Amino acid sequence: MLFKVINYIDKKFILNVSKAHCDIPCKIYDPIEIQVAALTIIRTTDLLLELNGNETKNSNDHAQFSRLVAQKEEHGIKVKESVRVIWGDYFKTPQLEKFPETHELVHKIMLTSSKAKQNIDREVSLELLSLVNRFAEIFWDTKGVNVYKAKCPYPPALEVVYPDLKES
Amino acid sequence: MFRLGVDKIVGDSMSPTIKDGNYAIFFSSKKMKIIPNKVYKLSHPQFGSIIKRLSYKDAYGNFWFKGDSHNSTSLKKIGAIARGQINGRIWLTIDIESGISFP
Repeated sequence: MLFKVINYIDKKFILNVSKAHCDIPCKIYDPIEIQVAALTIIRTTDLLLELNGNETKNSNDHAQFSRLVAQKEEHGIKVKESVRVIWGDYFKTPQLEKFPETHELVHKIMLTSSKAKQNIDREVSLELLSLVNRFAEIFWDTKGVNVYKAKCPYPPALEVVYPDLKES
Repeated sequence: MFRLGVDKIVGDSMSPTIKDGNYAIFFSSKKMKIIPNKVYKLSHPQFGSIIKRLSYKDAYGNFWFKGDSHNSTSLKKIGAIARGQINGRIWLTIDIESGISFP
């Protein structure tokens, strides 16, 4: 009754809001943003290598080079940040007991992401995608969701682990 | 001056004590005591108007708050809160299902 009265007043006059602030919206975790960031690193690496092949570079090429490096850097940071949030906030004892490799895998992702940022190296970027795909596999398994592998429908058209949400 | 107000709560960081969508009735006065384990409404430079539970008062007179949920922004991230940033104490909350409770 009291709730309905206040709710009515709220709708009429709009009460102030106080936030019970969380680090991220509670329980919303999805490794897809990590996978997309890893794919972006591979794509920007490919474009940088293409640019490297041009013998004569004009100012547009130099500008493009800077933009690609900046994007690669930004997405390397995104990989580390997003993995840290899922690992730090979502993974608890039951998930870690089921997948004891998680800590080592996360550490490897951190190191490989740094390496992918530091160098224009396709092999390293591919290794990062492979590690991130494994992280996604583990994540969805802990959620009881089956996964499948498919080539992403955009460049660099590489195999990505997707959740099979229709089955779950 | 004694002040009484009502705010709508958005977010789950005080869950399960205070849920998203609850209403919180708060009071404030110049003589309001700041007591550990009570829930307060704060004015935070980054997060705006937030509600958190007082954890402790440090040796410099600053207050340190945290949420009831493990997903809450951490005590360190909220940082030291000065007395002037505490705008009121939550007296009671109203939930659509469970009604009135005192956090």
